[in-house]
Amino acid sequence: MTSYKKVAIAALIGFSLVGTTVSADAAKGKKVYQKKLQEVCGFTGAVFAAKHDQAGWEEAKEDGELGALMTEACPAGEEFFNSDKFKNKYSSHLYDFVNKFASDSGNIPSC
Amino acid sequence: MKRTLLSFAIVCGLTSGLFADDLADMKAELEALNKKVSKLEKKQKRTNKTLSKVKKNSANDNIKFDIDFRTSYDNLQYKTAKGNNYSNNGLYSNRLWLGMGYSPTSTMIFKGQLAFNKAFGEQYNTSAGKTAYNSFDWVVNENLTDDTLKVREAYWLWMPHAFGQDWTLSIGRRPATNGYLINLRDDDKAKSPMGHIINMEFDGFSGSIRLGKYVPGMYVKLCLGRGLTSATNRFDKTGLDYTKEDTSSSLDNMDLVGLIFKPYDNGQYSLMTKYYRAFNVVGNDMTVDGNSTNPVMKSFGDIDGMAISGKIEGIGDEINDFLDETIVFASFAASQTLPNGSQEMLGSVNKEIGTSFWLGTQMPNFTGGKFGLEYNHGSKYWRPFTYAEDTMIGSKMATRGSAYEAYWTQPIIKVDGKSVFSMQIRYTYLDYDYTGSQAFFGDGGKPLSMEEAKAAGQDPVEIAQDLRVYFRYRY
Repeated sequence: MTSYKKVAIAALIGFSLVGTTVSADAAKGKKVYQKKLQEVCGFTGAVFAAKHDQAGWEEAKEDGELGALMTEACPAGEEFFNSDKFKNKYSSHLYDFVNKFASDSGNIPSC
Repeated sequence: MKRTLLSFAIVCGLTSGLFADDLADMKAELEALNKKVSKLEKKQKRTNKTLSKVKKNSANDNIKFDIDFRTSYDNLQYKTAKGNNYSNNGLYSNRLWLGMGYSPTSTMIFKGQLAFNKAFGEQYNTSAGKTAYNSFDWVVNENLTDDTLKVREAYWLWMPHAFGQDWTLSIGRRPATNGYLINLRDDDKAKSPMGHIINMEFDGFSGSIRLGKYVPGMYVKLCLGRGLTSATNRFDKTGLDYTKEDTSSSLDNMDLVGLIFKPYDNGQYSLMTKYYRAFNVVGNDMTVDGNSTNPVMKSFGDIDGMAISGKIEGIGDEINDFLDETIVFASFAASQTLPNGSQEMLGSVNKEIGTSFWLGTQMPNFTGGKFGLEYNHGSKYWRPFTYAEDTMIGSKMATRGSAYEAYWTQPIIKVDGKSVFSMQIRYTYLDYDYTGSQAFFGDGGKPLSMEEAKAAGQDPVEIAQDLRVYFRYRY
């Protein structure tokens, strides 16, 4: 079998194994924070996420109070946290991000 | 009076009957609650015992590990200036990165990485002896060697807040590969240096001051590294173990000092600049006819380098998801040789300037992966330090000519949005205008056009191609 055929088969195998779930993403959440909130809040995403532990963020999410808790962590971002875009588009990504880097997550910061 | 007493007695009798039912219910509830509390207390005791056992087992476990394991297939094709073709149609290799780290406080981190990178099975070199360059310290974990775990990174990072500013200080074997922009095609997080000009393992120091509170993302970082230590061996016959060699043929310490300045990064638009000087860079001194099989390595002089790179992550402001996830970048870099006295360096006694520019884009595709295109071009005397770039046919950033690349990176399994198992197909095409790309700083680095090389009896590589497929596990 020629090498290029082997590559094509590998590509097809990879393509066929593609996951189709659309899931929230901590990396996307980090980007959202950098673009929309870092300048407004005046501190890094790591500092923002560490304002609460994982249980705190989780409880807020379950109670539908994630926006309120995030506003508490960054009052200058209140307008953003009350926006439809936050509720409909960004909240799940931001939640994944803060949950991943919460004060008790044990995750080592990137450097 | 009697009637009142009688009425009172009847009311008491009735109410006590009513209260008696309530009291009985309350008593039953209390008993049930007491039973629950008793059960919870017992469960709490068991949980405390389990926690104690866990604490005993994990006490003094002061390191966390992560794994990055990749298996690659490469198809390599070379065409020389005289039209000869050489290839390897099936180069399989395994690479392991065993990452480790710990953060005992919020301001102190240790990070390390052990690695190996090897071809499948034994790699038997049938030419005249294996060279020492394959296991040179700068590339010992990027070249195919063996399955001995070697230290790729090991450093501490201290992040104090002092004099009203945020600082970082770090010493060790630094994260000096897969830097800014080159990380995109490697599907890695960008490490410390700028990938256009520095991509090699080194031991050294870095210190930075974070100025993000004044301008978004701004920082200044000073990096110092020693690429080569001149010292005698242990148990030297003179008894002068580890003294600096001081003969006419000995090498000087090879050091690098660099300054990185990031003027702006708001998460969408970023700009990065760097200047460095490398001292006492080394090369091979061959015989006059250039055919020596026993070249002598010596210091040839210093070299300056600089780069300015810009990146846009997300086109426009939420126009659509495709543009939100698209990245475009551009970079310009230059190098200048500073030969010692009348010593030729890269074949010239003059200060020679080389330049390179680099353009690229990365876009999301409909399969949830990323598709990338890159092009870079280097001039005659272009000379970066990108030996450790992850390209089997040689560093594309170091090309004195044109380099083209396309890749498709596809996550296959994701956990919490993180790619745990992924695949990449990548095609790299290098078209050399001159010889000596990425060679050392002596005669081997002298740039000859393909015609000049042929006239000198050489047959250098003119075209190099690499088609790679990998499967990668990371968690």
